[in-house]
Amino acid sequence: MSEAAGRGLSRRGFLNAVGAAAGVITVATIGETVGPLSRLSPLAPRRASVGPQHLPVNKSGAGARVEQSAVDPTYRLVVGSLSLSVGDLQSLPQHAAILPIACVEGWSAVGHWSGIRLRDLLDRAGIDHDRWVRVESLERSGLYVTSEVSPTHARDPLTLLALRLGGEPLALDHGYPCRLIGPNRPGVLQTKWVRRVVAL
Amino acid sequence: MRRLLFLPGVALIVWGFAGLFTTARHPRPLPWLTFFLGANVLTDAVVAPVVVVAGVVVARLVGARWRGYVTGGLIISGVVLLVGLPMARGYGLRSDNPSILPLDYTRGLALTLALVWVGVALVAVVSSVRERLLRPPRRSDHALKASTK
Repeated sequence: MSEAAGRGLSRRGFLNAVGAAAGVITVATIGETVGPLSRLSPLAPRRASVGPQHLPVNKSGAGARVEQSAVDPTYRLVVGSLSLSVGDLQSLPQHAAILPIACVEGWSAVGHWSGIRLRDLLDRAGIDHDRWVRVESLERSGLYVTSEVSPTHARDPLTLLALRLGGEPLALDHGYPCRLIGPNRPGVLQTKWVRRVVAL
Repeated sequence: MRRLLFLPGVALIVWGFAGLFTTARHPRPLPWLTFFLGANVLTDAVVAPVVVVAGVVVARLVGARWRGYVTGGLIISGVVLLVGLPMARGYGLRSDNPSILPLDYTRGLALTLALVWVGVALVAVVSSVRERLLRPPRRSDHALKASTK
């Protein structure tokens, strides 16, 4: 910010100020994306370790109004012609994946998930490999009650309907009984409280 | 050279615009348009008048020597406030969700602003000292020194 002219902010000074503003905001909020830097960031809207099961959530079970439907003993996950209880889901082959919830709002936090591969379920239900599928939530209203999964994502071995997080059963806020978790998807499309998977 | 610098920017704009229509199964560019135009309207109707008033006030109150640094500090502070004030006010807090806004953002905002102005003061002092050292001595300075010896 050289002010040799002494008549207010020069063009270079203005550009420097804008650059400095971007730098300050980056440092003040980067902790919500890069966990180890969270102490540097007094203005991070999330902290990667704060939340149920040490992972942040944007929408709680209460906020989605699924407290009853998610723990209802008559709950069944419907995939095509299959209808599976929580016990049925637990008895299927389980797989693990380390994947982040990467929110479009900016925060990002990694979870250790385990559950059923989506492709295993689609195979059992006889859904073809080239189909898009739609994952539907128990949540009744909201912008993201369903999400669509491309054939590539649906068949990826890392794409799970997760039942567990960090070795524990999924907390209600994280989508109990099961939630979608896949690589390379924004957090809002990792549908929680899944009740149905439909081939499109 | 300046024209050359436009190229990557234009390429990014084209890429982003194409993405509106290619990344979703059912493209919905209308919400984007609302946001894009709305942001421009908001800037012109709200931000611009605030900046003009701030500029007038600074020009009245701050001497020419320090005006540039104060303006720079205000630009940074304005952006920090825009980001931090909604959090300090607790917009979006929910009693059933402890992961939303888990920190003390009033303190965070005060701390960030304090550091910004410490930084601005340092830059101002360092640059003015450097300017004084680099400036060729004027005749009157020589005369002054000679007379005090």
